Amino acid sequence: MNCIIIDDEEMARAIIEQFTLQNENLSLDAQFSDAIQAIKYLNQNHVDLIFLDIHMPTFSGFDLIQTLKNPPNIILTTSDRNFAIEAFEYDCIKDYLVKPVTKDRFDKAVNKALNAATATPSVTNNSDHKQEGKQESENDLYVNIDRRLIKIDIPSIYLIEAKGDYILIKTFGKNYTVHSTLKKIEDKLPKDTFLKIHRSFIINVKKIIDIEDNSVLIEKDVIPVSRSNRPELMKRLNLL
Amino acid sequence: MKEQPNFSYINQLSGGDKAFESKLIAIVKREFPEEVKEYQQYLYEKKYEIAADSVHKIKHKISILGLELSYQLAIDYENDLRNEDLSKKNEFDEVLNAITSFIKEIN
Repeated sequence: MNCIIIDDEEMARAIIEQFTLQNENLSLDAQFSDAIQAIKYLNQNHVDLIFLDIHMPTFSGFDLIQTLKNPPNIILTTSDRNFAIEAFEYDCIKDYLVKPVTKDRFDKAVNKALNAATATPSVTNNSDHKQEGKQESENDLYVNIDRRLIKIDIPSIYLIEAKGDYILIKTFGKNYTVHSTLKKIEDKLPKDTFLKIHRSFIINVKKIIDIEDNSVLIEKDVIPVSRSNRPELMKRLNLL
Repeated sequence: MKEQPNFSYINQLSGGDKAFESKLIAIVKREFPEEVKEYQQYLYEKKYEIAADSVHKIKHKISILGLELSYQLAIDYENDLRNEDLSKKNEFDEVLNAITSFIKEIN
């Protein structure tokens, strides 16, 4: 298996590097002190296994996993035992190494990753898989916030508001302020679900609670509907 | 008797690979004083959350130097710092002093 190491501590990288060199099943291709650089590498290279530190400044190991569409097998390396429960929520995480790591424990974790790799069904319906991947990516939108690529589940967006050079994306779980324009995000959203109803607002039509005169109630926000956009909005409604 | 910094874990890791031992020791010698300085500065500025991050880095080196009890102390102190509790500061500082003296003696 080819592997990479992502850890902001040079000492930790040196130790894992030494262990990978001693393990005949591994070939170390690269190591990174910074998660952003690692993401760029992962977007351009195939990797079987990542040794990933959780606790890194600005961009944690979990942030990195959430950024990857199809994360490879991952072995977490950390000084904190407290993250173990969260780690089990990710299928891609095959083991959890607590620092200081010993050689025996390292080899055991690599064996788990190897077993997981060989247990992956070799016969898959390629077209189904591609279709599934396409649908998955169509439901995701990645936005750049403070140099992080954050994934937003598109169906959870109910409102987008223009705010000068920024847009405010409201979802049912969280709000995101992103340096972009309404036009740019409008092009990325499914046309059958999202509609620009005012020069400053795009709404998720499926999330409308009610419409009164020239305004729409969506979640707890009352949004104005401009006169020119009203006919299109009415067309989209399943009126009795 | 208080535990003393030692190379038992580094020796165990290296399996006799002297180049690797030297590499690890060089990293400890270079990074430890910088991390302690950083930790002290954040503490002085009362930036406890960031000071805790510094302790997080330092504690890995504490473990590398075979200080098992001090490692547990560092884990507790890191958590306490995040709650602005400095009750273990003096005890932790003693560990830092012991490592600083140990490092100075390494050629």
